[in-house]
Amino acid sequence: MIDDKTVRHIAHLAHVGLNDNDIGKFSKELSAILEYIKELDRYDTTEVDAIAHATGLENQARKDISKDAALANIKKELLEEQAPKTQNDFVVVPRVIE
Amino acid sequence: MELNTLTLLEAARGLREGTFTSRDIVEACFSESSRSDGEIHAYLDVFQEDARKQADLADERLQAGVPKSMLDGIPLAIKDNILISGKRCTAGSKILEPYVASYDATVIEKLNLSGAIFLGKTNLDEFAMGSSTEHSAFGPTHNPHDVSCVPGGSSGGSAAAVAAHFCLAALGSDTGGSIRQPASFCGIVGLKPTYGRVSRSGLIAMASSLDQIGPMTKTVADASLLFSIIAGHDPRDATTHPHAGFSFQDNASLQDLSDIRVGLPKEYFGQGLDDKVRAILDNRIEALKQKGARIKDVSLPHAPAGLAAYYLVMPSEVSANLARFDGIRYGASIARNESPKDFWEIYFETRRKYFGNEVQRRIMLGTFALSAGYYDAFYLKAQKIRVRITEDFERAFRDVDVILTPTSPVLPFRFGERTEDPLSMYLADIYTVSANLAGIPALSIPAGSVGGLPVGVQLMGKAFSEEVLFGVGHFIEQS
Repeated sequence: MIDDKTVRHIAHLAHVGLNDNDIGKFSKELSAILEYIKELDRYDTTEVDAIAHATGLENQARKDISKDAALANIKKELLEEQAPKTQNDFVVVPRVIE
Repeated sequence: MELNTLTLLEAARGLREGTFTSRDIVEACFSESSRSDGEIHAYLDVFQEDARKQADLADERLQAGVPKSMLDGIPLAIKDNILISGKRCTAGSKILEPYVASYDATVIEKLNLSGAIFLGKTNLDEFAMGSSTEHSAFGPTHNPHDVSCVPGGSSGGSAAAVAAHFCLAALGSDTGGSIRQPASFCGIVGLKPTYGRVSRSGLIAMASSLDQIGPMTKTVADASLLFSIIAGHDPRDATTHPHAGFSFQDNASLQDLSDIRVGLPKEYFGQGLDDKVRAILDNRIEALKQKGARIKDVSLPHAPAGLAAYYLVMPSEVSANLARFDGIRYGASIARNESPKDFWEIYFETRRKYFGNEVQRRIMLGTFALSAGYYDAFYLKAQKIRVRITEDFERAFRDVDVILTPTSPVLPFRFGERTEDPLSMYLADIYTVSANLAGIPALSIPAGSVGGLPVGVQLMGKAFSEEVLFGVGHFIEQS
């Protein structure tokens, strides 16, 4: 159901580098899982509107307060130490646009 | 009396009456974990110094007669996908091995305000993806009842820590059974709350529409107490309900069960259920009948589709949530010690090197289900089945107050038994995923054991009916 070419395509979309020997393994495993999932086709859902969550809550807006207050619990110094590269309080990212 | 074996309520009473100190309990817990966690491996990190300091402060408050809450001075273990400010939080993954949390999860904030003490962070399947802790990047946890068996997962470290009395109670997280199945395997109580009752702020996200944090405890009453502390609306999590709070009442248990209707869904008692598990369940059902409960057959016709729908919805959300691990802002990164040629190399290679196979597999599955040409047939179809599953429950709860099922179809299994075939591991969740899809609460309670291996019974109720689950659960526990 899922061949090696599809696995490479999905890995590209998912931004996951794969080892060559994992490609065959993933195509086999994902095919088996999707085969099981095909079970769903036995159930008619033509009349059903899909939901994305189970709460029924709608339009939950937070209070209109300044960002500093909303983020008061975050320790900035701990946050900055996390990145592989920082400079003057900024995270260094390699150039993404040529 | 070993103080580490106390329940939360027993400890709270003893602390209040001055029978022992918080420091005494903390020392008893550490002494037990130092003795046997080498074999169990429940903890990924232990906070000896902090916990002792916190205990001494709690003892001062208790002595002065001004405890912060019933939990003041009581030591807990926390699953390592819940952030504690200034502490490492790995989620069981190499990609977060160097990560230190810069803020407290809302549940941690609430527990801090109540005076609870954190002994350490517990092991889990990588990013909570698994049913055995065998997918932890830091090695599996062993079941305290039989170390050749898995403790269940993904909150296997928390379950084992409670069962082995390394702590008095713990927090876990449940996306498709990750609190209830390990609770069942380790012979403890575990609650997956109604979706939206406990804040997810500071929980490392797996599948946001399914994840809930919940208590893992030695008794049903303890679960009720711990739940009352962590539940509540949170401005930092817009999916929490405005009336999410829960108040604990000691002695709130039902007097008898004559007003309670218990539903048995035939779909949960069919093929695949171990006969020995079934026999224990039958026993418990008979005991409930003796107590006056009315037992009724119910049907949840879409239940057999639950697992398949779950394995589309969950990985789809996983693929989006885990896109943030890019090797740029935090966590392990090839950029730390290699010289990547561009941004894309950092992104792709970091995720190749530091994500485990199960995480990669689920990201791939979710990406596929959401990709052009497959979205309608897979993701949307699953979300429609989810509606059907929710409707099934609504219909059933018109006739019954709770639904009783096994928590797991099988007994705790041995290491390696299910790791080769991912699908066989997924089937461990077959009775637990539907509650997450429908957002309803579910409680696993110890029901007995087979050859020393625990068996759990699961109670499901309509949204916000935790009180009823605790009431019936208490009877099961006592019978």
